[in-house]
Amino acid sequence: MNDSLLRLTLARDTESYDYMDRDSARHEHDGSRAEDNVESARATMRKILESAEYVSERTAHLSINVSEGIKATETLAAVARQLRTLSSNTSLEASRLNGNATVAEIARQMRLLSQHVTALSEHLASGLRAQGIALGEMSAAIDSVLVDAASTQASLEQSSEYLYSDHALLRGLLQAVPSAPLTSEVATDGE
Amino acid sequence: MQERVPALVFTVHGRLYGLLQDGGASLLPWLRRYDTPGPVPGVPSWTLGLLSVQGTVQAIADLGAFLGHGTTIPAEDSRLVFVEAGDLRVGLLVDAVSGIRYFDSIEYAVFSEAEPYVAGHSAIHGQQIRILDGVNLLQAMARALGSPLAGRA
Amino acid sequence: MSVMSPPIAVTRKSTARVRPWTLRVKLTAALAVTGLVPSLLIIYLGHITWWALVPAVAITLFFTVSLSHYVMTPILKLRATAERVQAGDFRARSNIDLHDEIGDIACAFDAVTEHALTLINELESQRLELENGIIQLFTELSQAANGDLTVRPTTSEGSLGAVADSISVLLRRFCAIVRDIQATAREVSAGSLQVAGTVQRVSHEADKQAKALEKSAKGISDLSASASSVSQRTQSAMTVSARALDAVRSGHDAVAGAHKTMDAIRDTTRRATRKVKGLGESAQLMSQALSLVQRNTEELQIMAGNASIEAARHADSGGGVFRSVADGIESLAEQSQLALRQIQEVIARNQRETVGVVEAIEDVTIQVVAGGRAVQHAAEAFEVVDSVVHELADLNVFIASASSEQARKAAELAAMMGTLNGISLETSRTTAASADSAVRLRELTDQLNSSVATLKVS
Repeated sequence: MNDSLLRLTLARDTESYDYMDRDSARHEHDGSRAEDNVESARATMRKILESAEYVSERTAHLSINVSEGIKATETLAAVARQLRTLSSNTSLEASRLNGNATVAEIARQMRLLSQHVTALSEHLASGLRAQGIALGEMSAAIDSVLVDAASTQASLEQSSEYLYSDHALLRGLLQAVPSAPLTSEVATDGE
Repeated sequence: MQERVPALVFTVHGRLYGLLQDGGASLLPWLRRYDTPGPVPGVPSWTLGLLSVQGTVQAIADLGAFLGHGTTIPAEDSRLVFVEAGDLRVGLLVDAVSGIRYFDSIEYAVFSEAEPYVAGHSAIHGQQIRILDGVNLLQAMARALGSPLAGRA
Repeated sequence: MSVMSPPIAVTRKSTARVRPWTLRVKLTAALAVTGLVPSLLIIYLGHITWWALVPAVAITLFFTVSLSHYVMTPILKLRATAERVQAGDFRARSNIDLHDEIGDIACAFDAVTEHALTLINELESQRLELENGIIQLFTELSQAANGDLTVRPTTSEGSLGAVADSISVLLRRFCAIVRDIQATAREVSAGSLQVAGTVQRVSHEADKQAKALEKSAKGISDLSASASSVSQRTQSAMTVSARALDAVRSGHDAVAGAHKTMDAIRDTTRRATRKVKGLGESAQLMSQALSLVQRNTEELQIMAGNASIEAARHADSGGGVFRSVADGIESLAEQSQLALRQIQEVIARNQRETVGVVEAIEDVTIQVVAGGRAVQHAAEAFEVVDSVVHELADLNVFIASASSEQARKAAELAAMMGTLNGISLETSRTTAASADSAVRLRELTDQLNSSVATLKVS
């Protein structure tokens, strides 16, 4: 009988345990990396949510402003209409005053101005309306972003939970599986 | 009942001034935005230059600078107010024009060295208005330029 | 050498014995008289009476007693003599001089006794001779008994000489045997010493082996239990790894879903950015339009001013028209101005807000890009984790099956070790017993050696 240690190795292939050690280390490393990435993505999503909410809020303000602007353009349009009326009246007065050139000139300029103001107020109003529509679409887009961001956040949280669960499960698994092949050492009284 | 007195009210360096329509010097219906006049060499700094108005060439002066308030910097609301007194005609640069106002009364004041061209005072909506002596003003400008201001084409 | 003398015939003290009256005759006569007298008496008397019976009886008694005395006395004497002889006194004689059978018996007895005495005397002399020879032999043998096996008894004539010869031969052979024994004892001693040493070593080694096997058996037993436990644990670990796989896959799907929604967010953000840019552009256009309106309003104001001046100039004639026109224009100009201010405020506010929104959307865009990248990385990491978990699961399956195999083999090994352990213990015990036996053999050999060492054989 050999006086050295008597080793009974029952595993046929110790490589599997080496692979398991290596894979468990890899899993720790990759799992940490995945966790970090997921956490980074979640942090980013939080920022996105905050920014999107801010945008949504501002967009709502913008829409209110645009509504007020449209009301103001209506005022302008009313001014232009009144100016046209005044112009007409002034023309009448000019004719009553035997074609007073100055009055007629004033009436002409008022008419021109009225046309200009009408056109411009219409232009402003359409511009503001277009802004309102764009803001509405943007608001819808931002709402969509909020929904998507919330969904993404939920997905990431879920993935984080799954990752955590996976870690816990694999930790339990690695504790259950022996870390090395079973060995038995019997020492005999040696030389 | 005393007739109300019309005067063109305008702002120069934050102060309200008025020029009477019938105060010796008369206002011309040439009220317009400020346009940069063609410069004239060898004239006082308050003389801004010459401008073609209504087919005539008119002298343009900085009223604020002439009154001693400093150089007026033209802005969006800046206007040229044309005043004529006899042969004298000038376009005065002012900061803003409020329009013709009809005053119930004007308190004419004695001559003041501090404000030599202010003929009197009035008030509108609680705000004091200095009523300028248009004739005196134009004559002083003409004397300062050393030649009568070109008034007719 | 003397030999036993042949049996001697019985010799009589007297040469010829006359036996006129044998015992038979005497007894017959006595009985006849004994019987006849009463009979005669009875016959004489013709009946039995007491006074006839008494003398009959007396006579009968007398003859009986006399007869018995006559017969018994020599017998008793002979008996006494026999008892003396029996006691060892062979010189005792019965000296019964009767001429009957009893006398014959007595003579024969005396002759026998005499012969016996003679024989005894012969024997005694032979004995003495023999005793001397024996003493001598004994003396010589005592030397041998003391260990000097080289001594040879003195041979002499006779049986003792033969004995001495035989003893000499015996001693010679004994010497040879003792020499052989000594030699063998030495060899056995050496051998038994060696054997004892070897057996002791073997025993020691057997003990060690037994202990080692015991430990191994215990180790294997523990190993078997561990392997079974591991096998069970790896079996449950397989379930766990399946769940871990599901978790990873679900996490991967979640990340993929997040990736998709991130893409959607990115597209939406781009659209929102375009819209905001459009807002900015339209605001720019509106500002330009507003400037024009502003200019027109100013023109209105100037117009109003000039109309007022005209009105003041022509206060007396037609000035009313100018005044109403001037008032109307001024009012409109004021309203227009107000509306413009409002619109300007709106546009300014919108521009401010839009700048903030643009900045926020730019932030969102940057964050979306970063988030998309992070989600992509997470997805990639999940891919890697998935592959690792797959590998782990596969490894676990392999280890589970290996563990089952190990558990089975460990159990077999444990059983085998138990058997080996038993055998080893038995071997150890047997070896110990052999060692004891070897020691005992050595002790015996030593004893033998010490015993034969005292013998002188050369």
